Amino acid sequence: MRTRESSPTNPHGNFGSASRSMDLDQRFAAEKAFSSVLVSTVREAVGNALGHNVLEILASKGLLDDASNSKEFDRKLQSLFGNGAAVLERIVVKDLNRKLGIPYNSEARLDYEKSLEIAREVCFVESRMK
Amino acid sequence: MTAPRSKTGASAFDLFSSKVEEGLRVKTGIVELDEMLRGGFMPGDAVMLAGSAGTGKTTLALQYLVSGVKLGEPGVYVTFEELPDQIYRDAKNFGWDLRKMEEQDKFRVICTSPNLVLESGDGSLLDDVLHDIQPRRLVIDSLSHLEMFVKKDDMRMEAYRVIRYLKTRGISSVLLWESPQISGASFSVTDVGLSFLVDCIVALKPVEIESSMRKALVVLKMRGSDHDKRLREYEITSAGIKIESAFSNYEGIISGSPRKVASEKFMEMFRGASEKQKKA
Amino acid sequence: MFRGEPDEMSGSEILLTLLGSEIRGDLLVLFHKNPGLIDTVDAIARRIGRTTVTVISELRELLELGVLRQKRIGASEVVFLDRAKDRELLESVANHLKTIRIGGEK
Repeated sequence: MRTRESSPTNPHGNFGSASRSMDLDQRFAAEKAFSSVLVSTVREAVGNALGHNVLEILASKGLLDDASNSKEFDRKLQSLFGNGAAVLERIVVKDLNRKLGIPYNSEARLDYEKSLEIAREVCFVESRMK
Repeated sequence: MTAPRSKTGASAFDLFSSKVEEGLRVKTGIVELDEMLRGGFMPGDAVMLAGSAGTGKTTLALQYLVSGVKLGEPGVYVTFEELPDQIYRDAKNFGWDLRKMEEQDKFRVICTSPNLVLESGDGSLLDDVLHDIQPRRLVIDSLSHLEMFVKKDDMRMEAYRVIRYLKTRGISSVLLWESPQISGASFSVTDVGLSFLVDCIVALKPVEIESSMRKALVVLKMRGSDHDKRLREYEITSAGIKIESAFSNYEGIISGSPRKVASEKFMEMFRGASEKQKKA
Repeated sequence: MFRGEPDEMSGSEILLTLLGSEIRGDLLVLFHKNPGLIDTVDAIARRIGRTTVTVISELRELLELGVLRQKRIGASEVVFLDRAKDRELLESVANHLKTIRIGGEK
């Protein structure tokens, strides 16, 4: 799936309809593509912040398997890192937004679940445009 | 009777005498370039690698360092503009794992500001870097960046200090220089007189020939050694720089106005006329 | 020059310091992606899109921990990654994480 390094898009546009208007095959392919981008972003973020040994330990605990399930991912991250989970999530969202051309606001309170939802919708829109 | 010449233009005598000291040469790892240099750069020399943007200076410089690592010579890449992360990624495209070499303490990519490199005395930045892995080869990307921190009149002196620092420590350095244009028969590839400070100059130039962009490499200067004086075409391949044959059918490439040599033009006309006659 | 006493810190304490703020996270990512970066505080702050004022206190925490080091070069104070210390600290973090069962039970 094509990812963009620049050209911010409006994340608050009405993207909600993007997934609904896709057929099942398209939706499955788009979801798979998003999942792939998300997992690689999480790997890079954790690897760059805490090194590859830590990344492999988290992978062995199944953390990467839950990357697409933001609630479960957040819960596991909190168990392992406590308050540090929020910092890791910010790093993930920052990187993901950069890849997808979504503006990132470091002043705003981070809602990890909502941020992933916006990123998912942008991916779906991109998939439809192909 | 003239001595037979190899495809690199060297006579048999030249090859014999240079073979004696070939073991002492600093190989670039690019076979054809090492031939052009009669075995490689001279040990401890300061080499200027000049060219405009996109000519492959970084690629050639990295290839030089990576080859050194393979020969057991640790290397350092000093960059003022690109972050190491970008250098690692670019090198990976050519199959060079710089991070792994760093883990093995055979390589370092240092990213810093030019003014910090210019600070001399005890505890200077380069002192620490050299102490860390004892490099035999070092690249500075690029010397042109010093111009941002140094007055034009002082540029030559500051560059001399850096070059002398490296030479007194026996480090074979490659100093990149971003030159907008290399033309004419002059050795001066910089406008601040640096070409006289370095021991060797390798120039890279994009050329337009028959409506396509090609790349030309030439050794403009090499103190203490013979070298191939011809312009050679080169490519940036997936494995690094590859040097092809000389532009023997063209002249005026350095001046920016390439044209076919008279003999080649004559041959073309002759072939053309011959074709017409056959058809008639 | 700032020095820390990380030899006495547990893996969880090290983790708490490393991930104590978003800026510290950004600094960690910057230096891990670019371990050969050696520059002034001003230049480092610019590289992560922040001001010197917001970065300096966070930098101090990492300097005290020892993952970053500071030295004077001419008239400038520069900061750089202590690769060996960084490896050591991250190993402590990794060992600590190995002991944690997801859900918070040790």
